[in-house]
Amino acid sequence: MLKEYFYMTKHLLFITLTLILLFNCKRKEDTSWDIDVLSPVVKTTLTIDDLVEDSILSINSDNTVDLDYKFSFSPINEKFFLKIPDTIIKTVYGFPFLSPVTLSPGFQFVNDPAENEFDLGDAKINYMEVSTGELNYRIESEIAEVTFYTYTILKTDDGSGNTFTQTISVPAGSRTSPAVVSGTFKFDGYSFDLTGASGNKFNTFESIVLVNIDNAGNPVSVSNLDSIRIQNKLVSLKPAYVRGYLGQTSFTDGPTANNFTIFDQIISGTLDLDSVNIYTELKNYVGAEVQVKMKQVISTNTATGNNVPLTHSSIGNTINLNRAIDNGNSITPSIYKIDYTKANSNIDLVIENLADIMTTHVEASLNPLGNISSGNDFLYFDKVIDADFHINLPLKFIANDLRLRQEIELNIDENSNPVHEALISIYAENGFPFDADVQLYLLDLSNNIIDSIQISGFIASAITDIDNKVVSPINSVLKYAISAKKMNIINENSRIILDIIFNTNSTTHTTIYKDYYMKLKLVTDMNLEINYR
Amino acid sequence: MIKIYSSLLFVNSLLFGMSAFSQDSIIIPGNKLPSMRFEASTELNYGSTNLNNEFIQKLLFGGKIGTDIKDKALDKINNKGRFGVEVNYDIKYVNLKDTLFEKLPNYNYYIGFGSYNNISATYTKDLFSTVFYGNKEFENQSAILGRSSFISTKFEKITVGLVSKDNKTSYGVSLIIGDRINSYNFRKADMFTHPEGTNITLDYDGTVKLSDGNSTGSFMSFSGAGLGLDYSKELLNHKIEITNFGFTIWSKNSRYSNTAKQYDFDGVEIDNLLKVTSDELEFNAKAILPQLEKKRFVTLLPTIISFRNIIDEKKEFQPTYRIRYKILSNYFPYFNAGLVYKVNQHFWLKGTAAYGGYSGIRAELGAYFDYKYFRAGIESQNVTGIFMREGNGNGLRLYLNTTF
Repeated sequence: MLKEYFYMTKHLLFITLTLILLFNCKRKEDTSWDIDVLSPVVKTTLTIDDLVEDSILSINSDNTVDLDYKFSFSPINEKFFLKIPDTIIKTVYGFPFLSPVTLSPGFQFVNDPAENEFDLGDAKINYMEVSTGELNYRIESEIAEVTFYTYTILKTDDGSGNTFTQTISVPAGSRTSPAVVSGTFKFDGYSFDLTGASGNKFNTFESIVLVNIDNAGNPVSVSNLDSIRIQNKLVSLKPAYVRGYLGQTSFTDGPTANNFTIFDQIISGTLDLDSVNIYTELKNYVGAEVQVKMKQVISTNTATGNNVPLTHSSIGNTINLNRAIDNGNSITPSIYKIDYTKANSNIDLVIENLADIMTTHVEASLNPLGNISSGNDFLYFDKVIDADFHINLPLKFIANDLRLRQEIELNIDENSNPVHEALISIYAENGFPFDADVQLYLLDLSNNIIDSIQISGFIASAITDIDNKVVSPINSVLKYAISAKKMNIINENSRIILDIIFNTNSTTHTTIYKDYYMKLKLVTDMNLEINYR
Repeated sequence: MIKIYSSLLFVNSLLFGMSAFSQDSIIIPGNKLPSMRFEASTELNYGSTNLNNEFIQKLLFGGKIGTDIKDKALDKINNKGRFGVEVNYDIKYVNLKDTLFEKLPNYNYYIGFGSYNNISATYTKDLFSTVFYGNKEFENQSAILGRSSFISTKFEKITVGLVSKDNKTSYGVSLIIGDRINSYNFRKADMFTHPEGTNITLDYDGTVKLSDGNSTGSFMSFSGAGLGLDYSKELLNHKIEITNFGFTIWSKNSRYSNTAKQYDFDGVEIDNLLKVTSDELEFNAKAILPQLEKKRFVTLLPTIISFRNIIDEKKEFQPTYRIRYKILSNYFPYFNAGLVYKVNQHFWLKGTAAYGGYSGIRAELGAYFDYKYFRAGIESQNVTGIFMREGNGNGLRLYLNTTF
């Protein structure tokens, strides 16, 4: 019987092993094959809405299009104004007893009111609201019993009517081994009355230090050899709002190279604008008089290396900004507007330089006439001075070989891109009054152009009437082949450059209307690999 | 692994087999009445009417399908091509002493478990060309892709049933656990590729049924549930078996589409070429496809109907034949016929010629072993596929039956 069961078990084992082998057939490689696909891929309709950011696009009643671009070129902010320095307050409290005296539990042996002054230069601040800040404390006690240290800053408010006060328990120490306690209190959101105890000072806050023997402790013996040392340090105090006299300060910002993005994709060619309306708005949100001097504004085209400094009467001359008005819930800034026209400046040359960098250099001074407000200046630290450069650009221009460049990251590699080679056709129905030539370049990993893709054909301009207005669109076909070799370059580097070169079809300025469009359809004839695991 | 599998098929086909044998002759040594019986079987086969083994093995197990083997497969398609893979296994415990119903004293009860995995397709020549060569060759022509079907299904079953003491009749009721169904039935799909590929027009009429896309479709994943019936009967030296007659209700995140529509595809619409994202492309591309609604649907089980003669174990030579059909599985009715040779008291060999299922004409071999209370067998359902590179499939069936 045992023999028979052994025999059966042996065969069961054989069949089980066979089944395990059969059902564990793992795929060692992907299944793949190549196919030739001829198919449309994507289609789109480009209008002026697609080509220009909505935030700067403005449509006029006659369907013409303006670009409204605002460029904030001067970071005149709170860093140039009042700074609260870190303030250290050190105190040593001893006992005036030559022979030892016993202090009973709960006995208060320090009660020390004091006035502390911030060093704010010539500024005279009588009220401050703190955004962030902290008090770092360190207490060394030689008292042989637990003590309680209470630090209070009078005339403060956390917004709910509570004065800033904190109590710390300090363990028992000795002369040879004092107890040490340190920590941090946050001041965030507190307001400070800085008029001191009398109420007629400035930059001054009043504090009080109390130290008691622990109520639940034991009587403790102290003498003139015992002491308690306290160090308080107000650090990183950032105000949100101050009131008083802000003092006289002056500062310089720049020269600063600011990115100027409106033309940053244009790398060559010329753009002749029919007109351009440009102005600068200086807005003073500070409750004090400010003088501003724009020392220079320079338009730089880094592709051509061409610099065009702005020439205008405002450059190099002092501009007086009146103080803002605090309405409680809002601030009414004083505004100073500078208009630039072809007549009073070279602003057309500045814009037609197609700058990608705008360099600014600004000087400013606060309270140039001194304390003329009798200590009623104010400053909200989140809103100081805005200096905005506004450009209103009607899209009416002559483009001559205007080359827009876009670098495209394809995010592909040989594993994710199944296409071996492709012939790509772009069918365009152009309703814009300009030609567009397209060029593609292949980049290496260091962004150097290492090859190009030949494109046959170009997108022809729409047919226009005598007023250079589009009458009917024109169909064009662009074709380009990506060979297997070039596909390998794309797979290795995954980056290409797309250049589009525009030429308007007239020597007169061409107006762009809102309803102009270009329909594009991309069709591929490609050999690709189907792959699945 | 392909080599291991082929070797096993070869070695085993020379050793074992037994499906056409009756199962009531096992006697416990010492003439004791047996108290229980265990049966286990597994079946793995794949085949095609036009794909050769090299093609199928690359399709199933990986590898680059080159132009030469694609050309051979294309040449072999006349009207339609057919391809299928089946991986099934069953285990069964039969209590030979007890019965569930006093009124049925001649019936024992059994408990079984089975797993059925089936991928199958029927396709036109144009569909094969489009899938494996692309649509470029159909420029300015229509590719007739319709009257094609692809079904991938997997389910398990837990069965309770009755079997007569003479083992000639059995009834079973099964709980069906649906793991996966991906069913595409194109009643019509005429695809016209316009000159230069500017547009693709598809005149489509089809049904798509998909089970839970979030499920891996793995063992006992319960994407659907249903009921199945099994029945077998021996009569006049023949046996008819009906396995998995029933249905599955797919309700867990199942998707369904039954659409007749004319599609004109001229590219995926994108809103702004300069700001397009891959998410937008994917979303808009999916919008072109037939809209799948989240909907519960019911599918019939791929019922297997089998009819065969029963072998007389005393005869040295005798004929054997079998008919098998599997519904809703792109399965062509299967026929085989041949001879069984009794080598000695414990060993039989069978050789048959077969046609249908997922393959064309082929040879089969079986070997069967019977010793005391133990019986086993193995059948190769496509011997030509084992030896010939140009064979169009492979198949293996293992069987084990033991009594205590």
